[in-house]
Amino acid sequence: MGGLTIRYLMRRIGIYLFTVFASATLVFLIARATPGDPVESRWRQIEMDQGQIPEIEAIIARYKTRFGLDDPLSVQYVKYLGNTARFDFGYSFSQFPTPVWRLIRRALPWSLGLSVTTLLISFFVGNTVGAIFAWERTPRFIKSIIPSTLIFTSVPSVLAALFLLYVFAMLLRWFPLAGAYSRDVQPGWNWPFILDVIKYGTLPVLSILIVNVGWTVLGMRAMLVTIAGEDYVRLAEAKGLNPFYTLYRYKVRNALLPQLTGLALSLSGLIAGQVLVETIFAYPGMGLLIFQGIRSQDYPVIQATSYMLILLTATSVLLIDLLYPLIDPRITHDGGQA
Amino acid sequence: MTAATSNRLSSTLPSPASGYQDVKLSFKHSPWYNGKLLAGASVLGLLVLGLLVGHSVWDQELAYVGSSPLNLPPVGLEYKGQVGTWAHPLGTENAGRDMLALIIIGAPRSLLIGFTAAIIGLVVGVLLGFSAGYLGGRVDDVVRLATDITMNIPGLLVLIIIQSALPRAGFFTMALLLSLFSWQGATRVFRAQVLSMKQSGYVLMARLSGSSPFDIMFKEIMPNLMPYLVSNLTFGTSYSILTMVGMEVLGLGAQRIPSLGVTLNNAISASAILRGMWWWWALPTAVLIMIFMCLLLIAVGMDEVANPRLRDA
Amino acid sequence: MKNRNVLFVMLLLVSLGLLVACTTEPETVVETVIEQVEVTRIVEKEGETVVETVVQEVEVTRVVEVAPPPEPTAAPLPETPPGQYQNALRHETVFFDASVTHGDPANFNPWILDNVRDVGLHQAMIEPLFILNYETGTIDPYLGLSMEPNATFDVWTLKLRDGVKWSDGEAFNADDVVFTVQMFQAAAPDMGADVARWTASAEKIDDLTVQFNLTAPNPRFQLDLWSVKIWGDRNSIVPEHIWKDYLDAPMEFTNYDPDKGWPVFTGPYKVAAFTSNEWVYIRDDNWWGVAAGFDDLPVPKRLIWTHYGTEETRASAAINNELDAMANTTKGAFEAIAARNPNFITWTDGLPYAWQDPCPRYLLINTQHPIWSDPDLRKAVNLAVNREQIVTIAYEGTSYPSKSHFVQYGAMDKYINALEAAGLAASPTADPEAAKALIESKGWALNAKGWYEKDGQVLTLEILTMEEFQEIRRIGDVVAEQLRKVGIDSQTRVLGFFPLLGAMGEDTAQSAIWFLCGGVNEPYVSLNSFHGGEGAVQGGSERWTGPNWEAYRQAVDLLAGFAPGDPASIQPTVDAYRYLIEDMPNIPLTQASQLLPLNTTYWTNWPTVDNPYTYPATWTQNAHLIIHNLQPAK
Repeated sequence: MGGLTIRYLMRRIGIYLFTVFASATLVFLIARATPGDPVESRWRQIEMDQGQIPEIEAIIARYKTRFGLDDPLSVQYVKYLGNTARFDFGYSFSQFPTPVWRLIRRALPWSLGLSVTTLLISFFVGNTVGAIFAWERTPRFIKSIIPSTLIFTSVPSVLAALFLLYVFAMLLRWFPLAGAYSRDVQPGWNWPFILDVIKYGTLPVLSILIVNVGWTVLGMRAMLVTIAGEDYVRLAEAKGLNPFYTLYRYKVRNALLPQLTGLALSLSGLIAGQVLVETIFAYPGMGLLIFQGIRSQDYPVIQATSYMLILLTATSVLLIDLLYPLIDPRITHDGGQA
Repeated sequence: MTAATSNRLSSTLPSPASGYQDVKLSFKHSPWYNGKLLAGASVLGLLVLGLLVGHSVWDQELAYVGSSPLNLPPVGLEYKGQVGTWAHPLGTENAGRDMLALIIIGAPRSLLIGFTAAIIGLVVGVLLGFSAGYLGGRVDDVVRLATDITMNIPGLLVLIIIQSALPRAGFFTMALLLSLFSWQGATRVFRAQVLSMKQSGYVLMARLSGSSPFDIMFKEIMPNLMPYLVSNLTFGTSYSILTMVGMEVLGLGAQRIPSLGVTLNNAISASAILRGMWWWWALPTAVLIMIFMCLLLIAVGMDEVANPRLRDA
Repeated sequence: MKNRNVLFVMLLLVSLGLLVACTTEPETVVETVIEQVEVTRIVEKEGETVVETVVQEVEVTRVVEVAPPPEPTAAPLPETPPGQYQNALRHETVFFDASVTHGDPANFNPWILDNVRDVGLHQAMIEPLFILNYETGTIDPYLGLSMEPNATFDVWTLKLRDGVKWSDGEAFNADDVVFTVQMFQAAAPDMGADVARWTASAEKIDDLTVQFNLTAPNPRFQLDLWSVKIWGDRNSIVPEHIWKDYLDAPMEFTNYDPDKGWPVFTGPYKVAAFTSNEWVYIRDDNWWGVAAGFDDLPVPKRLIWTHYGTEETRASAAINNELDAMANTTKGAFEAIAARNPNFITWTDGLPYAWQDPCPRYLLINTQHPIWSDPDLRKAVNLAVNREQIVTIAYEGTSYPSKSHFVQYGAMDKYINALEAAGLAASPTADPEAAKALIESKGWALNAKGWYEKDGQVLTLEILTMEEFQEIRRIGDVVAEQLRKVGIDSQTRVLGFFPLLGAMGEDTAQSAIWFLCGGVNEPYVSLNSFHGGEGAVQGGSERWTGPNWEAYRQAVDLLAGFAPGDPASIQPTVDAYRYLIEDMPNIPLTQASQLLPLNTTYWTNWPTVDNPYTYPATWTQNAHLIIHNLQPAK
């Protein structure tokens, strides 16, 4: 407990706040760096789908005023920062007058569900396999099979998703093609719905999982190998303790903690990969929302969703960092991490 | 899959101060003795060689639309009444582009973009990491802050948004954008390494003898960090390629560079899988996976070079 | 150590092998059975015609496993009783392809920009006043019976059908129309911008008659404002008794409350359920049309619009009979579907399969560019373009070469024929020699690299194309290759829609592949695109200027006064078009293609080129006609 000094806490929270501020600014700037005019561009695109729209100039002018695109950039920026701090993302442009927050509230639970499931499975499976991989007593043939799993680490999650979709949904038809649950069930806390959600979520989770789990395996292996050289492990082995007990008690437990940091760090990659996978499976989460936002050039939606995802990532990393010294008494957080 | 994870792998390695001098002094531990490294490097080398030869031998005009018959299968096979010919040994796709030419042009582009991005990221990372570790103080604070902040931002996500907003980026812009999210890992690792090495005997010696920080960095510290450098570079390369391919496959990449990801996007948007035109999507995928495997082997091999304990496991 | 390396290399190979193994086409089980078939035949026997029945053994080859045929029809199919249509059976349900998902699917306000209109709302619920028939050019009545102008086109009288009821039982009448117009006038331009502009006032004459007093004469008042022309009727009539409570902010009204039975429209279906990517509508057996003698109830008891992710997913769903009507599909995907589910049909039986979308593609050239300001060079480009080849390569044969700037529907035939007769139509093939001669006549000569060059300047043409539209990208690639063959150094540059609009505004821009969503039953709307509008100094993105443009403007203004489809407008069309051809600021290329696979496993009587009761788009509002015409498969 003593590891958590006020100085560290202040610094860590400072970094967190600055991260959030910087990313909010980044998101704002990217949207404004766009040459051309999002409002006009969107309406012209609609004309392409729906034929000529009468009085389109008047409509475009009205939208520009409504979304404050006539203000000078500095005014827009200050307004934007103030609104973002209050989670007021304004209205969706393409679904005006729907507030962006309503869209996010619909999408967020699905995305969170996917990420948390993937993260947990990846952590447990990855570390178990990593431990087997590194243990001296593991039979050689198992050790030689495991590297083949690393093949998946080399596949972009999009391709993994397409592959799974093709094999399990199209050819074998074990899993549904798209969506989050079927039309026959009533959303709520009932078994048919929960089972349905699991069924629909399996392939998206797998797509992200098989790409990510390899890194956990490699990290765990490296960790264990390093620990194997420590004095206390040698001592335990010299005492002739049960090798499985040694593996678990002296090695895995000590290796797991640093792996936790790795978990926090892999989070951002995981979420980004999920954006692509959700698109492939038409899974109604934040990723699909962003993708649709990009397609319909809905800047309020793009800004809000990416800001929310960054905020989520940063917050989880912060939590893990703060909890870490509580879990692992060996770590102190006063003089930096040299 | 990300810079963060690659960094995680390297950062779990023990401090080089303990087992390091071996590498410098003993020939037996030369990187060339590591089998994985050798396998990865040689396959990648062969691939690059093949592509280079292809570049000079094969007509690259065939990578353009309408240059060849449509939907031709690879040589010797038959697809919808058309038989593959030696004129197009790997077949063609539905706009009359020759697959061999596409791969010959596309694969080096993907590799080169990834490599350029990784190099930029690495150079920036090494410079920052070295300055932070060696100079300490304010510089250290700023660099650490910058690293911590940017590591929390999902790079791919930001890239997707940038791609959607900016005019489609060219080759170098693309590499630059990718490198924006691949320098942090290197910075962290190098800062830590430099910090621990600063206290080692030979660096202290050099310092006492009045060498400049620049000399110390390149003559004393750098050579010892070589395996880390290479490992970092390969991870960075494969991370950048992965990111780019991910975006390209969804149609968010720079479409006018006919890289492997763009070919895959074309294949997917034309239902190549359902049509049974496997050569259209499987060949680019196979080449990509081969590249990734080789890079992974090199990186893992390099880690083993840097951390002798890993070799025995 | 050594064998580990070998192992890694092996793994590499195995993974490649696996990949290749996975790539073989999914097998369809083909079984051959001997079946006994009763054959009835008419035989001439000794001068007499006899009907005889013979039992024959026939070898039947069947594709099994994939696309199981529906239950044999020996016993009548089970039926879902009224009140339970939500769980209607497969053969009572039509599945449509939804092209998008919606973050907020619970908003049924028809005027939201990315609204849920075309995922069922305007196909199943919002009935239009009139529907334009693309083949005949007539404006067919629906909720409206007729709409007649006075001689000067500035007073229009709308007659409504008798007996129309909103889904909550209230009568649909002139009050609703007048209310809707007033709502538009208050809320423009967010909704009903054109109604607000053209209508000075709408007066109720009696319950079924409304008189519109216009701000200016408009021969297209009925067609443009109150009919389904392209996609849908933007100015849908809404029930006054519901919307009057939201008159101060009608855009914010979500029009959804299941307890009150909202949304309320007149159509034969009601909203039953929805998610972000799926909308379910069930039949309303109390639909007004039966009692009013307008039409029978449509047969489908349930309509479902579902969004699947990629085309592969859509196609896969189609093969599994989880889709009945698909949105635009590539030729390759359609052939893959048809091979595994032979029940799928398209607009034409065989190539080009596709129906023409109302937005033909053309090449626009910046007429203010220093090189391309010369009309003869633009004509040379026209000569160098091979439209048939564009169709063959860019569309894989699934489109039609354009004869003019107009879409080639039956209603446009008389105009296009007149252009052909006047020698103004575009040729389907290229004449490279004539193109070269024309370029050389302007002082250009081939250089060592094979490009035309004059005064040290190479003849280049950069064609901008749209990243988002693969079709347009592919057209651009083919055109560039064709121009390179005659010595013009042409390249395409792919830009997002966004930057493309910006780039076209730059002086250095040379050309772009563009689309013209113009008239579908008259040339005026298309031709007006290059007019520039009142007081303009140049026309369209082509920046067309000069004496021919001035003359063209006058000719188009003349055309504006004719009622759509008036035969007297044919000659003025030819006159105006002649100026376009003389300056050639743009070059028509191909018709836009919509390849729409339709599934006959459960439903028949889809619109086809031989049965063109309407067009086969199911995301547009004319789908009312399709839904009413569908018949269950035997």
